[in-house]
Amino acid sequence: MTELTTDNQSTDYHHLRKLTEACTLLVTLLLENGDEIRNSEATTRLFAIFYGVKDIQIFSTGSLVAVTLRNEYEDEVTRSVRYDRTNNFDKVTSTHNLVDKIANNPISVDEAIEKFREINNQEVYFSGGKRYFGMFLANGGLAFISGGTWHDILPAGIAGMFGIIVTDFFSEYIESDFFAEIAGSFVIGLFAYLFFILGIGNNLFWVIYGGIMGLAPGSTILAGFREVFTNQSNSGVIIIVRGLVTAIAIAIGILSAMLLFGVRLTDWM
Amino acid sequence: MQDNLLLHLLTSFMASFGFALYFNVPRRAALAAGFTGMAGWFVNILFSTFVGTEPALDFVANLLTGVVTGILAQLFSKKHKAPPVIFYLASIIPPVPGGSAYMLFYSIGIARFDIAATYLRSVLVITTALLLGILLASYLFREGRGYKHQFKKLERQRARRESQK
Repeated sequence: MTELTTDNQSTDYHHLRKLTEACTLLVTLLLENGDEIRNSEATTRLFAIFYGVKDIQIFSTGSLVAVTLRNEYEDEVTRSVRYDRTNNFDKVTSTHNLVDKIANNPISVDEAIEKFREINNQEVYFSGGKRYFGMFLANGGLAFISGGTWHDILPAGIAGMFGIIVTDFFSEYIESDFFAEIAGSFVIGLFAYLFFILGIGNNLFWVIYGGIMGLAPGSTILAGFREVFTNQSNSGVIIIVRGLVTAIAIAIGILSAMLLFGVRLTDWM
Repeated sequence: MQDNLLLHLLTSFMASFGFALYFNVPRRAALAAGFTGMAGWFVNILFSTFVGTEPALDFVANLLTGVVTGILAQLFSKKHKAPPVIFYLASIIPPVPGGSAYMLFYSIGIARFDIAATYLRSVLVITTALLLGILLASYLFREGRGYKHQFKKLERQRARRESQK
């Protein structure tokens, strides 16, 4: 049985350094995979206090997090990490479950670091194909919900799925989400017009409107406003701006596809 | 009543479930997220059928949608032992104004500022209403999740460990 460091024992400098690494891993895991910022900071704070630090400060923006820990001898350790915000809720769930488990059966800091790394390296729950199928369902459904007819479900689903695949492909190779989203929405415009020529689908406007829904920044803007409303304006503003930039990219992509074919989309509204 | 209510329910389930797959929500929780999205959208179309669809009323409709989604997300998060964000972020998708945000910039691009103003209003109003509903629902379930409760829990655990030594 490894020796436990509890609140009653002193935390020397070596222990503090390891604890800082564990806290950084924990808060990055939560923020990177799309948890609420206030929630992730509170979880990390409780984790650190549980392992016996005197004070912990967490400073996070939409793309950077810095953690400072202090023990009772006024030693301080700071570590800052850059991260990219995505949505991977499987990892969020397993991290929260792990912290719950630690609170009930304490383990040493080294073991905690090991387990956080395990979660970080674990495979995504749904493979690429299943996620793209999910996008097919979502785009088709949203084309109908927003105001289309049931004829629009199939073309919007297929166009949106290919748009997401193209966006994922480009964002890996050109390392700019903005241009990748322009390419993806351009492909959506191409597919929607192709289906329009073939006579599949009822209304070009609603096919495109449903098709871009997988790329559209609705949940990003919602998450950004959520952070602003819960006093985390520093992160919230960055997330909102990212959502608006995504919307601009989609508009550019669809506009250029429509210009190519000389279609006035407002005629279809 | 909407003439194609069943199709509305089916497509709203498809939309939320599809986004739950894309967000990598655990398998059983994904079905729950789809169901939550269906319930929220059902409330939304019930409101617009029986009360009205005037522009001023969409704040109330989306507020109710947010409250229903938030309450169901909190209940499911208790059941599946997962944070509520994994349920509401996927299931809020049907009313969420992602398409409006795209149309806002599209209409600016073709210099139709009258259309752009409509979509800007819908982005701001719907986002605020939905979030207000979700936050209200989360305050209903606040009990036992605050700091004081957590620290008391830690105190109890520390006492238990001390007694075991």
